[in-house]
Amino acid sequence: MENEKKMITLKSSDDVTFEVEEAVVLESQFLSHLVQDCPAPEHKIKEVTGKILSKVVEYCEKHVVVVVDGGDSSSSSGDDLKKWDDKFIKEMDLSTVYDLIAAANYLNIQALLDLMCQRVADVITACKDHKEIRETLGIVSDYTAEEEAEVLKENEWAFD
Amino acid sequence: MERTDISKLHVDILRAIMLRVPLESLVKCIPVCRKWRSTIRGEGFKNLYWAQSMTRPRLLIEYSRGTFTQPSDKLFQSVYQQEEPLFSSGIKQMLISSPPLDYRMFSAPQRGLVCLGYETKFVLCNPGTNRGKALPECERLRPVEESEIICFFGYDEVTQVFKFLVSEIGALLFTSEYSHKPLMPQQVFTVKLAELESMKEKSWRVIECQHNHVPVTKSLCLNGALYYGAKSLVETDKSMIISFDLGSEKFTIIDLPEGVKLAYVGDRLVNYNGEVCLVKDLWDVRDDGTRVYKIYVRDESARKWREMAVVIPCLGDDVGDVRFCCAGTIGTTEELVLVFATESVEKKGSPLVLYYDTATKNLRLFQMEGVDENLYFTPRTFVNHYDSLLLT
Repeated sequence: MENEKKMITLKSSDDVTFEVEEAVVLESQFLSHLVQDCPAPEHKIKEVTGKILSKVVEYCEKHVVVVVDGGDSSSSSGDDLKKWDDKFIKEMDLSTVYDLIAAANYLNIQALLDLMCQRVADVITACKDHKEIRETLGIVSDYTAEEEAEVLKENEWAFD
Repeated sequence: MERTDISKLHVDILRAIMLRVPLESLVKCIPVCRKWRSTIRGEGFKNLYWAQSMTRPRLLIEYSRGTFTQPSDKLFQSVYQQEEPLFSSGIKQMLISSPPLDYRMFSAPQRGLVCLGYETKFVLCNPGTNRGKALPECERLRPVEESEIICFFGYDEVTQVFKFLVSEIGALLFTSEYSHKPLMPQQVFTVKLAELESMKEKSWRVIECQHNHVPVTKSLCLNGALYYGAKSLVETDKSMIISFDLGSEKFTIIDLPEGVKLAYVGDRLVNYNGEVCLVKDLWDVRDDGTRVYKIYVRDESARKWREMAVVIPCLGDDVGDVRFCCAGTIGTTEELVLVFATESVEKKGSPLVLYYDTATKNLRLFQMEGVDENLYFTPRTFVNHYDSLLLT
């Protein structure tokens, strides 16, 4: 058994480097395979910027620590992790959330992808109508006024 | 720096996000833009959403608003039925404004939809999204005086077909004697899951049943058949269970145990681990307030009934003297729970709901909250309702 932690360097599309433990990399299915297949000390991730990769690394480091420490997984560590997740997403603007979703999807980090999708879903759920959803998420409607009226009408109640 | 917006995300990601949006908000997402509309209304997404809903069954309570003589709107309240702490997770309400007619529910929800009926008018509605569609009106084949027409409906998983069965029930509900006038023949209406949007173009068919009968209980849809309690119009005072096969449209009689008579008030058919089960209120209230219900479970392969008694002790002074009706069963074979709920007319507001664990005989009592008792009355409780995007 080797106790010494193996370190791996990740390099973002804009050449920002992050030195992380191998355990952190294993949180990502994509990176796990990459590290196994190609045992180089440094891996360039062309799809992800430094800004986003730093968030990904931050998330994975936090989550890997808890899994290792909580061998008998006390509930408080789960609660703490949830609190940390809440803080992690609260501080983020939606543009960063979308980038993180794309990164988590590309790197195949399911838990991070789930967390980010939930964040967007919560934002949508908090909106009172379709107009507020558009406004909040910055979506421009591609309907003409007539089409929109039609779409709003098409599912109205029909007792007759 | 270029800002990323949601429109750049892959449609699979958009689906993953939408799967996490509750049904009532998802409806608001449809008119946002073309991509969202086609994503949410796409068959693939609807199926994903349904598969996810199936893991989270709901208790559904139907209330009426207005006055007893002229009810108007319907309120549907629902909650995840098995998630602890019970009765606190995923609570939602939907008020459905209907014409001022006494629309009623004669069947439990099927595939996330409920069927409301008033005389010959029926609507299929989604109580999670406030969307609905009217069925074509059925024909009143003879003038009906002081008689009621009821509509059962069921869904066949195998053929993916909804089937509706209307029957005239005479004045039986109120008198216990059947009407001597001949009853209107039964009629059926069939619509495929994929054709719900165009059901107005289809029509009702008359169906002959060789066993002349009149329904007494609400229906149960189980294993591709509709089951309901009925009285024979041939043999006086004979009660029986009718099974109507949703595929072959054949009616079959299931004889009840000797001496068992059905009553509209209090008797329910429920699914007991995949078998038809009659829960009968014996109207047996002991001095200490204990109530006794009899359970008859049908073993169809052996053509036998198994009998059990359920004893519900007096639930304390704060609950008072209330009568519970069985709303169905929830849970797994090992931990099957019979759900009872009050349907009181005198006492307004939310029903008391009782979970009776058939293995341990443990009782848990809850009351739903958040419904204005000055506005809503006659709560009717159903189990195993699921959020669905049908009709949406």
